[in-house]
Amino acid sequence: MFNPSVDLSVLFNVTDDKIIELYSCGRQEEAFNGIVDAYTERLYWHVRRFLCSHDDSNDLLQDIFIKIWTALPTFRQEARLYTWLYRIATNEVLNYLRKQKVKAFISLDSASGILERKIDEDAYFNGDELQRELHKAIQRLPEKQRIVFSLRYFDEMKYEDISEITDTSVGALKASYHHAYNKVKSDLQKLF
Amino acid sequence: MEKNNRDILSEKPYLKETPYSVPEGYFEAFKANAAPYQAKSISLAGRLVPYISMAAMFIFLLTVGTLFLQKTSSPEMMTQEDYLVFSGDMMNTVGYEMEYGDEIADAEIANEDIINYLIYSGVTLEEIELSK
Repeated sequence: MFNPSVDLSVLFNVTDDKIIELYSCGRQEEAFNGIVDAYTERLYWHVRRFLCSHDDSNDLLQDIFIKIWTALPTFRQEARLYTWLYRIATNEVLNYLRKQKVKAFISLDSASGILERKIDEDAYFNGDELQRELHKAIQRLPEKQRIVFSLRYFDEMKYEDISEITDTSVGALKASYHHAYNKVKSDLQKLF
Repeated sequence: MEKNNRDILSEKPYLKETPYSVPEGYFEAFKANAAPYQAKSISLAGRLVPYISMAAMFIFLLTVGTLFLQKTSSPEMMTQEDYLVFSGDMMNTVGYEMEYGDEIADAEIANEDIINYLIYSGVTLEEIELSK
């Protein structure tokens, strides 16, 4: 499993350069295979933290890679490949969560309630009670705070990179992370 | 009070690890199948199949419907019982004919009958000719 404490931007740049080189030579399929090899796990865990369920994450990950394949010709090297990929994945996650919100509204339920239940019912959840409560607390955060918290706390991503992914200023991201961190912390404190 | 200031997120670094897992061999299987460019391109004939099927179904339903209507609306020999039911249904129409029978009859009077009537009532032939 990948170690989040490693500086992702340094780690990715080696692979990203190779992928971009392949793509520039017209070897699109090889470039795409390179993306799949390098990013499947990272994007999966990124998606899973939002969707909780493995089946939902698997379905969405497939959609994300189809989006990546169709959007690849539009990729300009002004952005870094890894932030571009995370941006696509994050947008897909947000679209999915918005649809879930509408479904939850129709069924007179709350979207966070549905996600919390998914954590409880997930056969592939191996964490302890504190981890369960942490991930439930994350589902209760507002959308933007959830993204910042996830990318900063779990992936230890730089604010500059998160800024590229979310199209939000570094200052606003720091404020969002601070609020999110305190909310989650206070939710977990109630357990002790 | 002290416990309320605890920062559990930084106290327990293992919380950063993912508590989720995946089925065995999931990532290998995913990587092996995640190639949208391998999806077979559908030929023009293949793309037209659903539309052709829909058109064929429409023609079939139209034919069956027409045949059914033709069969159900064709005149058949009436039994005495059918006649009684039919005549019962037609009572209103018959009543209408009885009420307005004179007007209907008027519409069927030939010109020759009118001329004969006019001659009989004293109108001369010259006057009839002039009125034409």
